[in-house]
Amino acid sequence: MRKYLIALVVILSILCSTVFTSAATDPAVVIVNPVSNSTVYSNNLLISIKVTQPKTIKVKVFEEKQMVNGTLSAVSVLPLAPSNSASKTNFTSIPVIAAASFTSTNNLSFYTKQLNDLKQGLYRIQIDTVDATGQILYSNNSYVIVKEKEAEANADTKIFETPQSGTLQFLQNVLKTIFGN
Amino acid sequence: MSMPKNIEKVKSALLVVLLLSTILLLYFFWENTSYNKISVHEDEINTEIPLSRDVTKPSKIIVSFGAGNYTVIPLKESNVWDSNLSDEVSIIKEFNKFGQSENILVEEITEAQFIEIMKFKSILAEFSYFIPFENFCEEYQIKKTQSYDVIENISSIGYSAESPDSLFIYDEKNKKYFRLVADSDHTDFLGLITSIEDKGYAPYYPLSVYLGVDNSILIPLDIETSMRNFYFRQDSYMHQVDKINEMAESFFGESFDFVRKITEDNGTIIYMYGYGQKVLIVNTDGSFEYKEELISESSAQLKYFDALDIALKFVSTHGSWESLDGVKVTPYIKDVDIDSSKKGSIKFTFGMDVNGVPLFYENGESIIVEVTLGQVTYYKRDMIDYDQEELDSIEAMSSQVGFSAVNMIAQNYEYIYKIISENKDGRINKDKNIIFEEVASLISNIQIGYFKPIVTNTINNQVRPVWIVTIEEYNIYFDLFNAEPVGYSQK
Repeated sequence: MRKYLIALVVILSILCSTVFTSAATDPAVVIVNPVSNSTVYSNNLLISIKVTQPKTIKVKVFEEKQMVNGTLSAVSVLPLAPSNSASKTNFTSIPVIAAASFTSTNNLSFYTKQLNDLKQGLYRIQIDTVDATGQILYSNNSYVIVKEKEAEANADTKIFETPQSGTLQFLQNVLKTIFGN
Repeated sequence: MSMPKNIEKVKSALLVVLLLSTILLLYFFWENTSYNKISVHEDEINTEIPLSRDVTKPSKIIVSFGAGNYTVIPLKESNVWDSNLSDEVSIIKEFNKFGQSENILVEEITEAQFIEIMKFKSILAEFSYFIPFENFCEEYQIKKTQSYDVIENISSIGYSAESPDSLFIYDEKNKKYFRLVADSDHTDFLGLITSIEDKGYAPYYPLSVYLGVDNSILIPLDIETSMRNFYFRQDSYMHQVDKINEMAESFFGESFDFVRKITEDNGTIIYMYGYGQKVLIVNTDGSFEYKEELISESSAQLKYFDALDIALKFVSTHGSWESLDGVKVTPYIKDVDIDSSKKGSIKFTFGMDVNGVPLFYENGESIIVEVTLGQVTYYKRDMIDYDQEELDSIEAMSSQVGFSAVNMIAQNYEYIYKIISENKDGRINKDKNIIFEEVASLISNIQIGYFKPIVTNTINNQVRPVWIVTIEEYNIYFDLFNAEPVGYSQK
């Protein structure tokens, strides 16, 4: 009985540590851009990943789609909350680029890549830290919403007040000339 | 009877000639001038003189396509700034159109407003110096209104599609930002931006996006270039006596009247006119330095572009705008120092570009000319010579991808920090993360160019392609392809 209990504890420990490892993110790998769970108003997206130890990473990008009336459709960007983990399980991940490998040989390197002509939707950036054999040691995921470029232009951008009339401007200039600024 | 009359006529003629000769001789002595200033040299007529507008180019033109997408127009594409072609749109042409509006209001705005408006679809030309705005409008024939009087200088000019009836000007000397508002939009700046976008462009992003630090300077995502190392020679060597003599003659005339020649122990040659009113120093590194005492008694300050014309003409007749062996380079104004305390002197520093790429020196500048009250009082020339055909064939080889700018900083931030920390307390023993963030936030410019090292020997000297990182008063240079440090210079 005692032996069975010990064996059970050992097996559970191994299982739990494996689960813990596969869910853990690599502290030496940070996605600088895009900021996780942010919205980008552009068809182009710059990915910048900071690596602070010598290691190899594999970068994959997916578009998350969901089944709507039997058709895979782009995820509606409003009013989705990508931080809601329950909603993510209903997605189908469509690869946008093939896995790109990057090896850092010092204690500070950056992986950068631009993705062009992205359509509106939800995207997931997956970064796997791999060892020499290709086994995944850590995995980081980051979500970003891509919206049409025009959406930003419609935002309220009242940067300037209405300029003063010509007479008032003239008087102001005269006063400035007499009394200085 | 006719004989005495003829004799009288001859005597009268002789008297007139003697009188004129006396006046001329008195002029030479009183005005302290020499014959070569009056005589016309053939070289003077045939030498190519660059136009003021040809050398006046922004150091960069930033185009924003909106939503965080940018590009930077390189120096060699100066037609975006100013073009002679009638079917080509340029910033100057559009500024001229803007100036045709009947009512233009000028209001001062804040730096934050300026930065914010330029984030939208926009185009911004930035100079590394400032030009008096009144002189700028005269030179470019821009119709000026009284409302422009509040703008003293121009360092940058921009247009934003978010405010299509406006232009934006920055005066770097006074740290002031202005918005010029017309009654309607007569310009085609939007067409210019669209044409740049349609042709395809090299993407640039703010440093903040790459590194996560607070710095909005733009750097390219990647660089592909045909630039290569190439050998260079000094403009002159001390054993090239004929070349040096010819250069000296351009200052003192062929006869070297009243000119002493002194050769120092280290090989430097000094030509001195009179008691030092004019001095020419020929340095062993191939550079020439000329100083002239101010003789003008006028108190009126010369206008900026008039002073520039004098500087351009002076260089063309004293060494020319090519190397002394005729290699063509393209000059541009790199910096201007207007010093009203020194009787209104204006010092122009000229840079050179080699096949469209700016050339940087580890020590010194290509050409410096100081104009005071219409007279050139200082001229320093340090040009290089090289085989143009050899360079053209090297650059015709296939392009190579340069080292990533971002990783160039990541690889060298400690080296950069060491340079900017020399002789500065309070910048020691800091954590690496703090050092990286401090360096990344202090960088004010990153660009590519050619780098000329300090001459160490006469045989193996190579100009090499580099990244140039500008931080505080330093330019720090890194090999363009492996990011190894190659030197630095201090302003």
